[in-house]
Amino acid sequence: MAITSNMPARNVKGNVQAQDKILYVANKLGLSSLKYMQATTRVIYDQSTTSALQHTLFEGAAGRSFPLTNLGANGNQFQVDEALLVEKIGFFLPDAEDGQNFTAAIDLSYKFDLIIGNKTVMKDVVVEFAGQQAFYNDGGSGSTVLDLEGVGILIPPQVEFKIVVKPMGTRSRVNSSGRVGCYLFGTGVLLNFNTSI
Amino acid sequence: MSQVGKLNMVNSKLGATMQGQQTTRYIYDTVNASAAGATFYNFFQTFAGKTEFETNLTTNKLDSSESMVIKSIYLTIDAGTAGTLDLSGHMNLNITVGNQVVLKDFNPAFNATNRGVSFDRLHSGYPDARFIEVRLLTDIIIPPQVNFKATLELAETDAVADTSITLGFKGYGVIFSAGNTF
Repeated sequence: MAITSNMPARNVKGNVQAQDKILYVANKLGLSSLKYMQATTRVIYDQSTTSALQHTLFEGAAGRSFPLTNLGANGNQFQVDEALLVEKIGFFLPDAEDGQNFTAAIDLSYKFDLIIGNKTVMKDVVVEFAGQQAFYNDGGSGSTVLDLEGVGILIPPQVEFKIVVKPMGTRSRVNSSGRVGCYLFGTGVLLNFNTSI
Repeated sequence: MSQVGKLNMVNSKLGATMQGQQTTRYIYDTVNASAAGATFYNFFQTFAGKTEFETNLTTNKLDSSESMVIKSIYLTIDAGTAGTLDLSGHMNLNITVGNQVVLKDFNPAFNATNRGVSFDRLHSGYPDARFIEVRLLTDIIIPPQVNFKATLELAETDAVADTSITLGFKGYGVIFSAGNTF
């Protein structure tokens, strides 16, 4: 009882912690070596800097380079024994086509699907502008970040993932053409050779 | 596992068991731009000629009786004479301990200023993009006598000749304690 009450907020999710879920899912998928890998904190992002009504992010990221994305040559799938437990999804507004910087997405909401492999794991979810303010404070700015309920969703190694997103006016409720960037943040796993090769 | 437990476990695996003084540790290094427009910065690799305010290390490893857990990463930039560069643009931060990459292509810029996309639920929202701190979700250990380094790649190319960036690691640590040894 005392231990539970002393846990930081992010861990009080049915008392299952991020690393517990990673290991549980890895075991179900037969990823027996994942438990020996390096734990980390990870953020991956991708952005579409050409205005459009709908964007597919992360797909085809292997063909884009930093700073448009930080995914590198493997694109929208992790290497062997690398994974990410997505705990937050944030949307931002690239300020130019070069993708070097971004601004707050004021009065913009984002309707999106998160697809991992052949499965849609988040469907028609909307990140509303300033929608988390009851328990989120980024100075005086409205948030465009979604905290995933439960512990989060695991993107396993070597499985493709993508986000299909449509920006819209938060108050007008009209599909809005513009640039979009998105990050996935959470507990990650990095490849670590524990034995000599 | 608690950070104290993880630190003890890793040190034990490496044969570096010790009864040190527990503490809160902060290590930092400052790097100047190699040239105007520079986008790559290497931290904890050269220490010669730096003052105690630019770095508090003299080598890129902790002492034989010292170790730490990285819990937070701090970045600050001095844009230099007539410089305008800040830390609001995208960046790739990599931290390597020994031969292992422990933080890979991490982008702290989402925590810069208050643009509504910070990682932390309660973000300070400090509006000046020359200062960033990010709290990590996982405990990253720097064991005793193991080399570590960090590299930072900036997207923006506005650095001038005297732009400098400071990178700090903050967290739980153990430092030498004589105890009953002497």
